[in-house]
Order: sequence, then structure tokens, then C-alpha cells
Amino acid sequence: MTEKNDRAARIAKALGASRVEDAPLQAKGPLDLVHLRAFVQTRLRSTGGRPTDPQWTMSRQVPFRPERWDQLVELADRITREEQRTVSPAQLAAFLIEEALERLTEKDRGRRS
Amino acid sequence: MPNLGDALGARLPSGTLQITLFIPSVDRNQQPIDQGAWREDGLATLARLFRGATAFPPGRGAWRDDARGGTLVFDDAVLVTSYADAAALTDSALAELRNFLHRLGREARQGEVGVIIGGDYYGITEYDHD
Repeated sequence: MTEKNDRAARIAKALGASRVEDAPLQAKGPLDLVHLRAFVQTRLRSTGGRPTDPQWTMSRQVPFRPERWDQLVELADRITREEQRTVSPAQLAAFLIEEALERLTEKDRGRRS
Repeated sequence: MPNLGDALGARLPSGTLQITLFIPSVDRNQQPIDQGAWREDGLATLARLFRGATAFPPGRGAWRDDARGGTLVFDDAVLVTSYADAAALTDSALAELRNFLHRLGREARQGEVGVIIGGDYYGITEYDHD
């Protein structure tokens, strides 16, 4: 049993849940937009300038396909407008990369156990 | 590069475990419930347990009530989300979360209540008694 499955079993028992389903948070549906909004509201902090995540302590250049960058720009504009908090396309990209890496790590752990 | 946590004077652990509650607008008979009160209760529960929570504007949803021949229940659910420190998900925190979820299910007459914790959805259909 993986670490994630152990945790899920413990939580299900503690909550009295009758079913447990995987609810992956990938950028595909409305729930994922909620996830991105939560990221903007809870992780981006302002110390006077543009709000940022204090844990982002390094910058690197990352290449994009133009249509993917356009998608990020559109999403950032929408979230900035709806949440009334400024978020940049690059910040959304950084958050989505973190999410993807976290899921990859979980899957890798699952294969090894 | 200096440690930003030290530079900013941040001492508390950052939350990485996403917890999301679904606060319905109707009961399983499609009758309105006091969603505002349950939203505030959900926010208070998550804030007390995990230091903070955010409620998002309602999203239209539908749920299939299998115990009633697959009847569809439509509602405008509010999502209440918290980023928790995984270490805060203790047995006592889960017990308090259970208390809230089962009370919501029982008192708001829900066919199912749900919560997402760390990428897993937990559905509850049988509720603890008072």
C-alpha cells in the first residue's frame, strides 16, 4: 500500500466515508479553476510590490508553445479580474508545474511501493 | 539568496494540503437550506483547524441520488477551501471535521456530503446520530 493510500484509508475511517474517489486537480474543469483561485488568494502575498509566493526563491527561463502561453495569459487575466488580485501568466505556470511535479512524485512513490 | 521565511519574519508552516468542502444550497428533496449559515460554519471549522479558509461563489452542480432511483438533484454549491499544513490533520482535527460533515448531512437532509483532501474525494452517506 502506498503512503497516499495509507493516508486515504486513515482519513476515510476517521470521517466515516462510504466511498473514496481520486479527485486529480489538473487544469481541465471548474474545480481546477477553483484550485487556481485558491492559489491566488492564499499563496500569493504582497510586501509592497506584485504579490508573489514567498517560497519562490529562484527564477529560470522556461520555453512555451505560443498557444500555451496565450492560454496562460487568458487564464491569468480572467482570474485577476474575478479575484481582484493580480496574478501573472508566469506565476500560474509555476503553480501548475509544482502541481504536476507533486502528482508525478506521488505516482513514482506508488510504483516503488 | 537569503532565506525568505527568515527575511520576512515568517515562523508558521506553509499549507500544502488542499481541503475543500461542498456546501449545498438545497436538501435531497430540492428544498432550499440555510446555505449562508452552513458556509460560515464551514469557514469557521476550517479556519479553527487549519488557520484559514476561503469560500468561493456558488457553482451550479448536479448530484445523482442512487438511493432514490437515480433522481438528479440540482443545486448551487459553495466551495470552501483551505490550504492546510499536513501535520495539522491530526486525529482530533479529523474528528472535528467529521462532526461538521455529519451534522451537515443530517441536519441539511443531504443524500451525500463530500470533502476533498489532498486529491481524494471522500463521500459520506450515513451520518452519526446526535
